[in-house]
Amino acid sequence: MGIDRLVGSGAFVGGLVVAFVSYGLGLGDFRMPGPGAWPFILGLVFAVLGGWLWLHPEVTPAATEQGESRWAALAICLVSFFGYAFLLEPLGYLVTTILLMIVQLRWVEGRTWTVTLSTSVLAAVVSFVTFGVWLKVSLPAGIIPIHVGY
Amino acid sequence: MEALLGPLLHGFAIALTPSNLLAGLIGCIVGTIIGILPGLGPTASIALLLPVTVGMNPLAGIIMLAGVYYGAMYGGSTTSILVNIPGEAASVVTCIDGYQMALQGRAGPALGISAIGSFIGGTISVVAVMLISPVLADTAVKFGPPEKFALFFFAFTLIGYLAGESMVRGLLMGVLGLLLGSVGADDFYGTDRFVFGSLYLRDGIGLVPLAMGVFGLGEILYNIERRAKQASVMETPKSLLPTLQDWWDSFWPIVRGTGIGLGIGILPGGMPAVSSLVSYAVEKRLAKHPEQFGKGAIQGVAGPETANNAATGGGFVPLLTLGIPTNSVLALLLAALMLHGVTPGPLLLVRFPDVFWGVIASMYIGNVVLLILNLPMIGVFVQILKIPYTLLSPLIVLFVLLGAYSLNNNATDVLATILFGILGYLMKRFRFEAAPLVLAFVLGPMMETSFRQSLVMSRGGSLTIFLTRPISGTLLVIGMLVLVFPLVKQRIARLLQRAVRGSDRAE
Repeated sequence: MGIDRLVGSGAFVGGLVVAFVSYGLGLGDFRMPGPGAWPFILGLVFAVLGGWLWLHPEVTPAATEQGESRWAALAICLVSFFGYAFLLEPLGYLVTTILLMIVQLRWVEGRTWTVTLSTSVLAAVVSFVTFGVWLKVSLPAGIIPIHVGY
Repeated sequence: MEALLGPLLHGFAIALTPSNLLAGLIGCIVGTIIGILPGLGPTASIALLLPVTVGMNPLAGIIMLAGVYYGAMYGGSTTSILVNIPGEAASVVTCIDGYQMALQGRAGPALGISAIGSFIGGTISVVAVMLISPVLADTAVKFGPPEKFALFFFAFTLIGYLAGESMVRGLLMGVLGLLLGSVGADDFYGTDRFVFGSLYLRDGIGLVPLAMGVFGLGEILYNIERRAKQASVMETPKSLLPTLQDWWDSFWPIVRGTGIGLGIGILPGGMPAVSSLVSYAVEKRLAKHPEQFGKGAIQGVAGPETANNAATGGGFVPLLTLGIPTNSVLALLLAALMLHGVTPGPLLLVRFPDVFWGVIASMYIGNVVLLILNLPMIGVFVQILKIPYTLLSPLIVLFVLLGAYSLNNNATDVLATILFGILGYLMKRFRFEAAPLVLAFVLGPMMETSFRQSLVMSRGGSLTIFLTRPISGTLLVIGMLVLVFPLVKQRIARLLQRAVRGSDRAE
């Protein structure tokens, strides 16, 4: 199945689901539209556009990009992003940032250990000073008890 | 004219006092720096600096915050061009061709034309603010919810011009953006919509996580997946300033961008993002080679950048004369004015002439300061692109995630940015345009509010309210034409193609 057909069918079903849920929120009437009125209209339009794309696919599978993909690098990258989001508050800004940078530089970008470690520490400290100390953003302290921000 | 020149000169005398000049200068510099940092757009910058101005004299405080606003607008374009991260909604359109120019080694000309276009648009809009403000009050009041809805609808229909190769795909992304904009507590009833029990979603999805995710992280993830190991995705920057041909190509877009930005900026609801979108659509429509748009056309940077800065200045007209902020940044400036005991409105000119003319004069000065600051900085900014991409990419990731966290000091914003990054990656991978989604997301909540307000206003619940009022009727009809015309054109072209193929086979 081409990408347009896949997206089109997904949008068609998704649009109908949105319209159905919106109907449940209350459509109100023309004098006083309810909370579901606007998303109900959008859901229907979305479904119509999805249906149109399914019936008239415009981009063939061959037109999407071919060639070698670095799936492993992409997977590592995504895992490190989610890890960052979940560990930022328990471990603190400095530790999590250094870990994120190490993963990115070493395993995603393939830099040497010297470049990886020096850049990671420098980036974490400079960003900590800029955002935490100068702009007073409350960065999480975590396991290193340095508190910044208002 | 003399009646205006006298007070303006008085305004300059006030704005050029050392303390006010310093306040403006600090505002411009801080605004530019903060604007460059991902996540912190003009709204966040002003919110951060608002407490600092409390102890200052009112005029110096307002001048500083206005400087932050212009500075952040300039800074936002820089990150759009260099790393495909729009600082705020108005810079989304700049990403399309600006970033493509950077990929081709033409970041310098893109930044140069953006700075100069912004200066011209900004300065001319200040002249207009000065000339129009005293007489505008009556006209802007006529711009009610039906007119606002029609304006947003018209802007939405222009999304087709950002759609790239397929109008339907672009519209699909646009409607998805509108749907994402409807997530959260309903403004009228407070009913939760599509929040799935999440407190985070009750406030609605934030623009910054969406824009930084879809544009910035999406681009990074795409590059990581597609790039051959160690290879760079960017060409080494060539010249630093626009060539003669660039100037020639940008002249009319800048002229038109000024008019568009000013015209839209003074309308309540006419935010800089709408003006940059309209300017892009107009330039693409008028271009000799519209196929170059989206592939690094300098007109696609010059027009929208000029327009959004002209709209920034234009937005001061309803703010100062009517007390109506046309966007969130101006709403904060309104709060700042009131914090200092200055109530904007028709009486501002009479009761606080020093504030009015001082702010106007400081806008001229701010534009000059920003041009002087930004042009020599192009060389420095372009150096960023000389950093090997394998080092630059993790740094961009860090600043995007940190920028997301700094919005509300909340890791959920980081998570949202990552999820939108994955969406952005998939969109780029399968050639769906990101700009329609983000711009529609910005327009969506305002479109809905004005739509519902209009129906309530019509009393009988009649949709004819949109057509019977001259301004909204005209805008809606133009919008419909804009929407239908490319679809009909596309259909006719296909039918003709089929007919030609059929006749070829028959022969």
